[in-house]
Amino acid sequence: MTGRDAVREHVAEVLGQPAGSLDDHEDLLDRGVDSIRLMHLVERLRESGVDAEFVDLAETPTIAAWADLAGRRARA
Amino acid sequence: MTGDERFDVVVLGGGPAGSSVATLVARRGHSVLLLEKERFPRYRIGESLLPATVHGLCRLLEVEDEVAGAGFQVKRGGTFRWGAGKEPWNFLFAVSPRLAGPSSHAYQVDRMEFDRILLRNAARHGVDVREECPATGVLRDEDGRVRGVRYADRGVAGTVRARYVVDASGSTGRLWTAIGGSRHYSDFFRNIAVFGYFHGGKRLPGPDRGNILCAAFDEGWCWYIPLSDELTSVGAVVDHSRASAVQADRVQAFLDLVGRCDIVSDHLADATRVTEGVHGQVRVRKDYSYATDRFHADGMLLVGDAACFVDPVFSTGVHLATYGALLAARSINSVLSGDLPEAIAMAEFEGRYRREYSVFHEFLTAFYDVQQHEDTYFWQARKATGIGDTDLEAFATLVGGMASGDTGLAAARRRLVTAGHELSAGIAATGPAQTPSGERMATLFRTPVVREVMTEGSRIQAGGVPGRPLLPGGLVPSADELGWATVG
Repeated sequence: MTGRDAVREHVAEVLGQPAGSLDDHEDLLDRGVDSIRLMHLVERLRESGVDAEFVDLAETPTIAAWADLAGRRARA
Repeated sequence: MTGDERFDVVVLGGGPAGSSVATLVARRGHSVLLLEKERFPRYRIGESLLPATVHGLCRLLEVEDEVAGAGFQVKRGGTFRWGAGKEPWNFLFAVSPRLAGPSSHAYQVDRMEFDRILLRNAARHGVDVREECPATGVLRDEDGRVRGVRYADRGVAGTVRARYVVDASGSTGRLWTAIGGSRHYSDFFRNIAVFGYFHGGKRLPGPDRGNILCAAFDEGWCWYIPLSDELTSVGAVVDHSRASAVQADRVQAFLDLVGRCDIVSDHLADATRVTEGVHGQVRVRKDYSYATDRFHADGMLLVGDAACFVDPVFSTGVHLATYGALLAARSINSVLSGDLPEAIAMAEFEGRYRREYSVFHEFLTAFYDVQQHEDTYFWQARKATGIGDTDLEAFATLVGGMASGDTGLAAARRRLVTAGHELSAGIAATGPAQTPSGERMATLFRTPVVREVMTEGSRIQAGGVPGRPLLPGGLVPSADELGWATVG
């Protein structure tokens, strides 16, 4: 539900880029994620049951890191 | 001859709150009359803005590009000589340097020009804007509901009827009392401000040149706002007990106070005070924080300084005012369109507005508490540990869900003291301006009291976000962000 594939789908939609083009470990700020898009991603993750924080996503902007975070912060 | 005029909504006051609520209601196709007692442009203080206003609110007003093109000084945050350290530190809107794009900027604005842009924009959106038309009283129907206002148009009395009256006439308006509540002043923030303008003041280095600088000194604190390369707005905020001494000789009192605030005094070493024109006066105003105990009743809503005001050290004035305006417009639009019952729509307006006021109030109490090492009268009286019971009760009521009586007051005090400690720790960990750690805001943004004040601003700025309700069981913004929708 909130594994790497799910996170990659969210990122792809917010960026308007194909999910297949996103590497799990690349820096998403280089791919066009800015503060507004980060806010959208926070909302999307929260809607899927993850207590995501803007600051956490901003500090480690990779799909791998966000998927780890989503696993830790998933609401029961 | 104007006795039969009817509008969906009448707005009193053409400042940012009034212009915003009028424009956002007109955008849904409703008829709006805006009555402004003065002729624009007119002077106002409150020059430093936050990103939620210049991006989120201005986007919804469809005036973002015009504001961006007006040549206002870009501001990437605030610089503070405040707290235990001697070096200034930064509160930047961008969490890290790599996220410091245009969406993380705000502006320092000449309010004569900024307010004029927003008022003209209201007229462009179909609002009937009438300047030099002060409202003089409210009209009620037989049930006591507010149904319109009386006003004076160049000495000629007129009446206008409306489904809603929105009072955005500022802190000096009189009609807010029609709502039937009273205004509660905080003892903690009973400050006065004395302020003027300088030419040729120095600028902070590099990317901080557009920042507001706020600096504590023994008797209070000073603001230093670069409005352009040449012009600087400077003010001193001191205890209310000094009001009569300050009033006795404003200019001398102003220069003396500013002279005792080292960093501001250094920045003004080669500057000259403006003595002519609209910036040539030294002005004094109360900076008391207050909230009216209700923001709406029976056909009338309060927004902006008519509803509440909170200490200006964090540049919150225009944000809080226009946020209230956005909420009011959403609630009015939702009732006028028949989407929601009035009671539910107005509860969302009141609940969200009060929440925003209370989170800023809590943040600012913590912010003053950061100066707790100071042992002067001004700072002794502004420690969270010594906050009075009346203020604590008001705080506990605002926050809600706290126990009553002594237990509740003790809990409220503990919460404010903790917030102060956490904020101090966050500032210490961030370190001085323009150092590697001082350019990164993650630690500060994680401080609970900071996270709270940024929540709604970020959401408004992001726009179009699929929201969960902010309030338990509450509403979410509609798809066009101009009304409310129920969840699910």
